[in-house]
Amino acid sequence: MNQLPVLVLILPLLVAPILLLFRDNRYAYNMSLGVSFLNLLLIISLLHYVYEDGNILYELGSWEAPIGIRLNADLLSCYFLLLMSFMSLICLIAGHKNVKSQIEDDNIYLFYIAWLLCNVGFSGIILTNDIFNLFVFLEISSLASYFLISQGNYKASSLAAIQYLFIGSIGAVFILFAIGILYANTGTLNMSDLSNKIINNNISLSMSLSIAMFLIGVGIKTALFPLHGWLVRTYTYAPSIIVSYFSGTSTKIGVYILLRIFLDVFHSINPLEHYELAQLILFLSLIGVLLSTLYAVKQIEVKKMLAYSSVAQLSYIILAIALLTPEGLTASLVHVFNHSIIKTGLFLVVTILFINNKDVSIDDFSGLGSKYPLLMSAFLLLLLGLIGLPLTSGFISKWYLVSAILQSDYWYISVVVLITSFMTLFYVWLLIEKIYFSVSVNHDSSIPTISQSLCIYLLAAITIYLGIETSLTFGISDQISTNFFYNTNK
Amino acid sequence: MNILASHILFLSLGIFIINFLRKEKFIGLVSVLISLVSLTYVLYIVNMQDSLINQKIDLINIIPGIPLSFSLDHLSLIFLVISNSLWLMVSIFSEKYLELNKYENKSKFYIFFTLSMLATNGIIYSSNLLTTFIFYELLTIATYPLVTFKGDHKSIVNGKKYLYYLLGTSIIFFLPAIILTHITAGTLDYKIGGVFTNYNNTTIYILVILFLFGIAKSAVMPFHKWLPSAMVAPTPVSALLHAVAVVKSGVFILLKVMLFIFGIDALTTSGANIIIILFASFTIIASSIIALSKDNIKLRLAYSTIGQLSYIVLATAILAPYSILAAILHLIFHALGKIILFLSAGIIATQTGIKNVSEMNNLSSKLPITCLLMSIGAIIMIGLPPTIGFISKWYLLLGIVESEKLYLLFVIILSTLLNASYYFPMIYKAYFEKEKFSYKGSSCENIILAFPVILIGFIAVFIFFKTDFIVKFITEQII
Repeated sequence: MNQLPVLVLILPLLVAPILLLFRDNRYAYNMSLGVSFLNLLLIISLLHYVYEDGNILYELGSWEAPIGIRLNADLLSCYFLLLMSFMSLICLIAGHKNVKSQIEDDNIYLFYIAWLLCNVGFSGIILTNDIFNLFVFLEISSLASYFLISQGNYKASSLAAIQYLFIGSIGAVFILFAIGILYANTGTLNMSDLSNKIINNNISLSMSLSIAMFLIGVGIKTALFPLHGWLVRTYTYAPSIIVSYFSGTSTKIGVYILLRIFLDVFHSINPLEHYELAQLILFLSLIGVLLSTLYAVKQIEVKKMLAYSSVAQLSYIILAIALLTPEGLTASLVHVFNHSIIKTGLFLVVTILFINNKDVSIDDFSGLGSKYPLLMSAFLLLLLGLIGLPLTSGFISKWYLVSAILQSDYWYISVVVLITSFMTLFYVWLLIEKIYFSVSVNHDSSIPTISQSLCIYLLAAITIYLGIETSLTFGISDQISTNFFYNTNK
Repeated sequence: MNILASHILFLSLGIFIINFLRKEKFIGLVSVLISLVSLTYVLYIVNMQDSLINQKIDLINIIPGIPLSFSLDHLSLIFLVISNSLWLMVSIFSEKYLELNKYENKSKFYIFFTLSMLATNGIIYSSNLLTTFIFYELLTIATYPLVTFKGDHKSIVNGKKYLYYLLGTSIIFFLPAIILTHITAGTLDYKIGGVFTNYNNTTIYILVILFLFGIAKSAVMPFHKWLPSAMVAPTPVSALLHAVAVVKSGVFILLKVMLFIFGIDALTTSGANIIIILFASFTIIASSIIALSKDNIKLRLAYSTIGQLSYIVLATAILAPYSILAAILHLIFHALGKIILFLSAGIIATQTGIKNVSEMNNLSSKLPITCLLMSIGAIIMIGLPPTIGFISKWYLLLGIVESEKLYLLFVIILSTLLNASYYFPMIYKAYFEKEKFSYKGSSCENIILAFPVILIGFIAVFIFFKTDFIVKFITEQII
């Protein structure tokens, strides 16, 4: 049996308690870095393996599937795992300086432990084939997240963490109820088993309730309009390095759960189509795109602006899924990857330059173009990627998104998508004008270290690379959606 | 290695060279050299055309089935020669112009100027709509720093308008047009006769509107406002980019879309070309009326450009062989005439500080050569014999008669009258009105500044006697 899936989980899970024993900040950082790097390598080889030879099913403790817990590494999991582990590694490297200055000395090693546990939670959610297990991992990642968010050194940070805790818990409770109902109806928790048994089960009222609860729970996780309020507050008050990390991972995990539950577990009854949920989600995400873009244009605080922009981009992703066509799924998966890279890069620049600022206003960027020419060129590339100009990955996303919409029954919503995509230009250009045309004010931006700058350059380079060579994003996404829509041997 | 790709590669290399030498004093000379090499490339390509025409070269596969790819056809060849030879002239002009006007940060100017020309050449070489779109957007981005080059409040505001108009229309109209074409036709390659095999009229109508509005670089109303905004840029930019490279790229793409994406058949059977004719006719008249009201020389020229571009669009949309010939001829002739006018305006502003038509009294005594050149340019624009402007107008009239859309004669006649009434006052004032006050600054001709303009003037006159050669080339190879 291939041991790779379980190694991905075990490695950080083993290291975290060891770090607790040592209580050494430096050691904790180095070990987390090492573990993240190893994890990335493991996941790349896992992806390679799965791409070549197909799914890996791993029975934990060799207990057979419906009774024991099974890990399932298919292309979808590996795609999200790759994204998550890469983001984690980049943010660890780029954020080290911030962690040292923002987090109290006594807490730094705890911070890294929580980081690793959060990683375990995310990987667990992605890898598990057991729906209750998914809930457990969701809780692990959430608990770690609360700690991470509360470490911001603003007064509002604890408040943001508590809000995140409350809203996250409400979401989790919905998911837990939904799982409970499923279990009562089918008598199993294994996802493959569930998806087989749901065929035979007539769609009862309780099953509908379960679906509705899943939708709300996942909607909170993915910040689906109108459940997006927590995201903006969290992104504004959490330690900025955590924001960079979460912008590429946490909400994308929500997208993963949505895909797994609605397209895989409920595969045979296709609830999105059956209950006309797709139309509802389409409608909500359209409003979400419009409103959050408008809000983003109005913001003068950069982190808030980027947060609203994230809500808008997530809405694009959800919208593409709700089209319920293979092209739509491909588009959304491509955008998941591209958007994570771009948005993490943007947040990282804000993080790196303004370590001590509570609010980063647009004015703080005045004249940075001449101060940090190279870093700002990378920032510019990322911003152009956000607009979706050709030769950046954002363009690829936009191409497939618009293409998918025009090919679907809802071709008219492309108007909203195109106009909001144009409106992205409004807030992006505010920043660009400040950077290149304003005279430098007396600001206290901190000088980025070489490793930090390299991280940003890397992300900018990837944005360009993924805009030219799309076999990683489009190739795999296309494969995944083909599997979902045309292949029944799951 | 493919010559087209290596031309583009050379231009990118040129940008690095300029960036590398940015501190040096002779940076302007380097830029002249780069444009000279670029012209050499073009002449070599013209020389080798038989072996290059319709040879497709795929570079990278951006979207499966739609690579970034280059090829060459006869229409591209014409635009290629025009833009690159005028680039050489303008780069000689800009070297002196930037020095006399004491601009700082010259290297930034040259970098983005070269990048703009790279993008223009990319548009010319592109063999499918995706490649065109990529270079189209690159051209917008590359010209933005030039429009805002002065860095003052006015240029930033105008630059923003420029960017919002061009990027906005390309995102909202052009991109979906391309994607819709890809979905309906299954290909984006330019093909003689068009790519649509079975189509319904609604799709064609929607696509025509999307393309017409999306390619806002052709400045067809209502999306024309970016062009007057762009006039805050230094004169060489207005002259080469906003009278030739950028706007002609727009018209060039529109021409290619009409001929090689829709195809004449699809447009005439569906009747969708009427939409283009209506918008273009309206633009021709409206822009001329606005131009009348503008006192600023550059703004008047800008509105004149908007009208002249729509001539080309109109001539193409009539879809008669003569009118298409007129469109291509006008693409060349307007470029020559308008660049003379803009460069003259630049000389006038540099040497005397005059920026408005109302101040031009008796200017010919101070700048005799410039005023003569300006008059030639103006007469070309009006389309009077014996200048090249007359020839394209002549074929346009023939095309209109041929296609039996006689009401368009009225548009042409009215706009010619309007053109005359905003160009003649400039000539009249410069030669015949007494000066009201003495000018500040030196008032003699600067020979280096005037040299490229004189050269273009000679070419414009020379071409008048060689028109039959160009007409023959176009009728044999393109139509």
